[in-house]
Amino acid sequence: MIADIWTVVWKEYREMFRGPGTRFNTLMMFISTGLIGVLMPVQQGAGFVTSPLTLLLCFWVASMMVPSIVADSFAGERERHTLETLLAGRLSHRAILFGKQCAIVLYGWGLTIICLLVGLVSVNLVAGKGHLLLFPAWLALSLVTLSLVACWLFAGLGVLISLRSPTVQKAQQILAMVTLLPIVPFIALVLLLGDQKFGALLMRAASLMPSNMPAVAGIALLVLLLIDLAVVWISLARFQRARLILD
Amino acid sequence: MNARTVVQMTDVSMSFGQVKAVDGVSLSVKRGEVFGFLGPNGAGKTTTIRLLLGLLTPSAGRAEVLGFDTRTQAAAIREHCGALLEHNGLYERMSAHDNLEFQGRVWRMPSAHREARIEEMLTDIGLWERRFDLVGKWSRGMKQKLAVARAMFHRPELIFLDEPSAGLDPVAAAALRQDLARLAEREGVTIFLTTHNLAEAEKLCHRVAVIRKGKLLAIGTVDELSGKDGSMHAEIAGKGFNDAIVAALRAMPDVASVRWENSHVSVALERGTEVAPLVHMLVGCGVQIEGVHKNEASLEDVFLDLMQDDQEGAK
Repeated sequence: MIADIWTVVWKEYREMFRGPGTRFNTLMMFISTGLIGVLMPVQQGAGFVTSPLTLLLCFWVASMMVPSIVADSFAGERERHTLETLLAGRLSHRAILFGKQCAIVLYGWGLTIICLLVGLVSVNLVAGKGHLLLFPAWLALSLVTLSLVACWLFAGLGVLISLRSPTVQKAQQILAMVTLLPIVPFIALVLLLGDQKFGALLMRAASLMPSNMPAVAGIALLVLLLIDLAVVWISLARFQRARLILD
Repeated sequence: MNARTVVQMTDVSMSFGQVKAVDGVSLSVKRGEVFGFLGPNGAGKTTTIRLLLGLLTPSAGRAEVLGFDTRTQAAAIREHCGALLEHNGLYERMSAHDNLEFQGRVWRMPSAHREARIEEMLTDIGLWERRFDLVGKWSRGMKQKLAVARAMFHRPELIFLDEPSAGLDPVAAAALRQDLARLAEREGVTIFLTTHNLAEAEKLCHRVAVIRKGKLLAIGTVDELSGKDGSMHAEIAGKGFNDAIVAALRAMPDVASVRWENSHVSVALERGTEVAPLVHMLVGCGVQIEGVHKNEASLEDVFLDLMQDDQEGAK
């Protein structure tokens, strides 16, 4: 099973980084590394390694980088007429599904870790003043684990949508809407409360953060993990070879 | 199902809503043979392959491939088979080498064995020098050759080829046929080949089955079906054919079937039948005969006769 998953990952990376049009993926990697790994730490200074807001980077990278490639996972195979041949081979549906998810998670997560490491170097160069600036242990652990489950969430949702989408474009459209959903409550709050009250609410929430942050991160991790598992379960239920071929 | 039988279909049907794509098909394929599955577009050929690979579940009947039930042991079937389906399924953003390497990895071939096999297969089809080209830049003929090589790459016991030469020009189709015949012989693999190219079936297949609208119309060796046991075809060109004359021709003894297209009539004759009485009758009916040619029936003649008979039967 693991070998089969790795075979799918190998194929996905060959297509992602070796073929024509892969310069876009490489360019996106450099842009995000430049933005998150250099620009933001330089602007934030030492706060980059201490502020709990750095945790939001996990979601930012995942929501920015993963959807751009995940829509292609099944819809792309369907569009390029390679899906049926893949399904007619010896790979199990779990190996195909997890292989595709795994390739995207490793890509998004790897990129987040690179951004954070580059950010650490940048902030030390700019604000280190002879001292080594490092993330506190709870924040480092939260960054690593939360970015993993966040990438898994976007990869899982993307694969689930792509599984039955007729085209990559259609999958991208649906995924864009799903990605925007978490922002909707904030927009609704701004509209309901007005700018000033919403600002005050944010300030109050931020003031509560430092003391409770490790616990908040832990709960967020648990909730995301449960959602990830639910998405995997739904994806497995919807992966039916006959339906995928006839759709 | 005995050891020599690799495919056994018993009264298999497959419906999509009201449409019966496969309708009570029963057939068997023996180990080592090239079996042709002939039929026009929409006859049910692709659905049959999908059923045999366990990608679809039959609405009725039972099918076994290599001794495995298609309903309950589909994974085992796919483990032991290779397939070139309706679309070649090649990854066009990958090189030929990588396409074959992926196939080798899927079937867990050891690295050294995989590389040797890639060289063997690509050399055999004359594409070794182009191994690092992106497949997307290749001609359709080259892609089909590679797709055939990929289907055979992991040395399956049985391969399904769904219209491998469809859309190829005659030169590319002939080259593909040659490669296919050579590889099949060397690998000793059983081939289940669907096609509507009758010349291809005649050259490659040991036995053929003819299907139309999901129903099996005939099955046998190419010689049996094409009447090379002595039955003949008479091609008669002339002016003045009409429905009544064609009906009269059909009613004559020893006439198996008649096809009429404008100023040309093709008559299938029973073994040993003379053409002279037919010509005499046609002249008597006022047909101006311009030419008569008597020959052994080709697979194409038999195929077209079967299509016409079935169409008339349906009316």
